[in-house]
Amino acid sequence: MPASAAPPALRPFFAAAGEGRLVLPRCQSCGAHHWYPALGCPACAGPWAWAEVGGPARLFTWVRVERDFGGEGAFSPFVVGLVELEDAPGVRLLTRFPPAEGQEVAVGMPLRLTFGSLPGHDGPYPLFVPEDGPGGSR
Amino acid sequence: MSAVIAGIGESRFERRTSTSAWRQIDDAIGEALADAGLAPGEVEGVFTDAVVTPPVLRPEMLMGRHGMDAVQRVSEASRGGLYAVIEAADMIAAGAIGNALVYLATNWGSVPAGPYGAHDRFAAKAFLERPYGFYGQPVYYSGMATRYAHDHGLTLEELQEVLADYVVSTRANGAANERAQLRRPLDRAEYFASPVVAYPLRRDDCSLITDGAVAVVLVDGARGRSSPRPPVSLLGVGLGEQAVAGDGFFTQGGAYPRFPAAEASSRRAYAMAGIEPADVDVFEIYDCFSISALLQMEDMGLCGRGEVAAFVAGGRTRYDGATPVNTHGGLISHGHLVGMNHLTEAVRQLRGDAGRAQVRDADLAVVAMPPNRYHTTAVLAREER
Repeated sequence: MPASAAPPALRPFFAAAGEGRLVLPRCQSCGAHHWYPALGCPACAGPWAWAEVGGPARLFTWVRVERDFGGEGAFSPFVVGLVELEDAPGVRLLTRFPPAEGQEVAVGMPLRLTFGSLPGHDGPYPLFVPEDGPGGSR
Repeated sequence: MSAVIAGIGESRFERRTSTSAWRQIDDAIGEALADAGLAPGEVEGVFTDAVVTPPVLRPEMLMGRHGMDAVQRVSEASRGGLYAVIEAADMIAAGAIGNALVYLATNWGSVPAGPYGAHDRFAAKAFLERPYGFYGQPVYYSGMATRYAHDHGLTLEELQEVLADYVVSTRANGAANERAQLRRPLDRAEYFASPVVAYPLRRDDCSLITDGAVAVVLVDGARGRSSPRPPVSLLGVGLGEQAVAGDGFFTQGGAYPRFPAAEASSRRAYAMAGIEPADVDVFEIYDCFSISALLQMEDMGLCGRGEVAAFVAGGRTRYDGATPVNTHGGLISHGHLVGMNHLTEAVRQLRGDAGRAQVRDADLAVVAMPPNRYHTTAVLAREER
């Protein structure tokens, strides 16, 4: 589904991404981040607000998808990953790596935040790329 | 009065049914009631799941159609088929009803979105996961496999050898099961020739897609003593829950890639039954993917953390191995009835009805499902009478 059709609970996330910022729910009482947006903080039930997150990130796990399971747009194999942010423990975000041949990814590799489009979707979406690699869309 | 399982029934399991979900449910419940020696008019409770069973034959339809006029309790559980069985057993034990019919069906072979569509109901998944291509159960469980390998110092090639051990064993079990949807055995070379679908998982690591139905009849223990077939008792049951929302389970789980709910539910069931995993003759563990069964084997204490690679080597989980697991071929070979076919297989094993895959002297069986944020375990034994 395109970001423009997102329900109200997710709109601040996409609005910030449009400005090149990553925001996540952070509890105003206990300070814990959570994802996806809940009605109250899952740790303490306190109120939360969107808070900007950046900083170092690492690849938590990854999958090379070699068959089309109902994705959007024309299919070619790609690598999708789950990412952990040092500044937002307990939260994991997705990323997708360019379909470059011989793409080497490894659990634990350092990543940096960028923004770009995904196949069939303008976004922009938060993406994480190897710290020394180029940014850009997928 | 504690409850016993007195009857089991299954429709044919097919990739796509030549009849209908309606007919398949009728076939399964007819077989289960006949097996238990119970007439439809005697049924006092009807239990099903509220999630996967196609809505063609919900309890009220079933009751009207079959004249189940004695029904006084109906429940549609949200935590799967085994949970519905546990609810039914508890109501019988409490004396609210004297017997119960539990049924579950799948029509994933016939619905356009197949099993993947089950996750489309979550907005977070539709807007934040699917655009990245994080979609479909093979992708979710493949991510767990990669992380498990990392956590325990295995290369992905080494992990694939472990997956092969489990799949070859399970396919051998399925080949011995005349009711299995996929009866062709698989050797190691064929496993490694199987196409990769979501690296490191191959096609043959994945469960089947099935149209089918399963039904189970429970009665109180007194009636069970005169049942036509040997009754099977629930010695221990357990439920576990993990504090993570449904939309976040495959990405945000705190113990990823472990299943804390499986650890909790299995320990509760073992404690209630007064047993240890080593006492168990046969395990039937929800295997939507090879990796999901292997992870649960650690969570459920069949072996220690990081030890499943050594544990499953050499065909240990075959029906004739030291620790038989999924003796019917599981979801990978028997068919995907969301674990209800694991329960019917456990009953067959304890009755001595499992044919070529019969485990010798099978007195104690454990059934467990699903590898998710909630998990149920049951310890079953043949009732002496």
